[in-house]
Amino acid sequence: MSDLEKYMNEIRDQLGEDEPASGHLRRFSRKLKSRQQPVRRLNFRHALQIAASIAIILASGVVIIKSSKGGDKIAVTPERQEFQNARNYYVQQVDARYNDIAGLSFDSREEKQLLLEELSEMDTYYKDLLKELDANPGDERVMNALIQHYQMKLQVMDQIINQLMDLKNSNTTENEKSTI
Amino acid sequence: MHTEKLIAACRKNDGKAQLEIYKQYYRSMYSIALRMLNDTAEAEDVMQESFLKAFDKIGTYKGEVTFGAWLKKIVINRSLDVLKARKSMISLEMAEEPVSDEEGETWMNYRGLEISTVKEVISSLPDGYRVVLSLYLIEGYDHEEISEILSITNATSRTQYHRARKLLAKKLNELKAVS
Repeated sequence: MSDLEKYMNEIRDQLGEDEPASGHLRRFSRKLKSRQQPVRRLNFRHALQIAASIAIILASGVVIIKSSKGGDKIAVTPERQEFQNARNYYVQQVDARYNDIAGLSFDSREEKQLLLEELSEMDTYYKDLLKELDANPGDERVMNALIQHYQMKLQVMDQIINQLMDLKNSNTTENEKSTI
Repeated sequence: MHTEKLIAACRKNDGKAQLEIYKQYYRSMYSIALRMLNDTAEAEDVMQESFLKAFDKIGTYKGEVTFGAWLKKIVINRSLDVLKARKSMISLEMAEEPVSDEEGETWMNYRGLEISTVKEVISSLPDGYRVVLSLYLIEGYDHEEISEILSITNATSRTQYHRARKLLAKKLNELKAVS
């Protein structure tokens, strides 16, 4: 066995850890379901597509920060305190939206699970940002990116909640009509 | 749930079990398709189509090999179909003489190279080299199996692999030398 072959043997497992693009689980789940259930709801799909798109945008943001940041560390400042306050506010808002979504009715448990997984996928980028902030406390670019992350996540969650509410209302109207 | 139970549930067309099996194997299957196709979108398509095909044909899975090995064969065959349709796979030249496995390769300690760098170098190899090298060096097929998969002779598989390995070693050595 050559040195190259020995080396490749050693790293073989690590070569099988590639990750497909964000949202692949949802895309596969859709393919699976399309073989069993021909009709799906467009609104729900749209909401998931938005969530996936935002996740990609946020991921790009992290990459930009990682590639452009310098190594200087900044001491705790009033700006950082202000950021901390804003962060507390957004964390609270995001938690409230999670509770709202968790309380809404879905077609199936699996659908709900997928949406929540999609949202938690966005948190991967959030965690990257937090690591960046730990490594560079006071870095304004990271703080701004975190605030943008919260704002975008809230927007996505609001859209999802609105669409689910619309869906719920239209179902209620249809049920009322059929009762009449 | 254990893989065997999941497979049993998949035989009953249980969507949840199918999704669990997907979660368990998608990374390794995607990696195989990506190495063969060098295209992330195509690799995802092939990987997912392979899972669907596997679920359709799960009645033919007898458990003689691991489920992962069975699935891997489907991914490889589907990737080859795409490569053939792409018509970009270089011709696999016929080998007249067997080549020594150690011939022409300088010793080098590759440890310390980033895995991502190794992946990039592999992906930079021509399609024909990359496919044979991946099948032999990474997926663990022998030349007899590769010759069957690719419909080439055993000698051609050996020659192609030898050349691919030499080229990979040369590229890695160059990188190691400058690092």
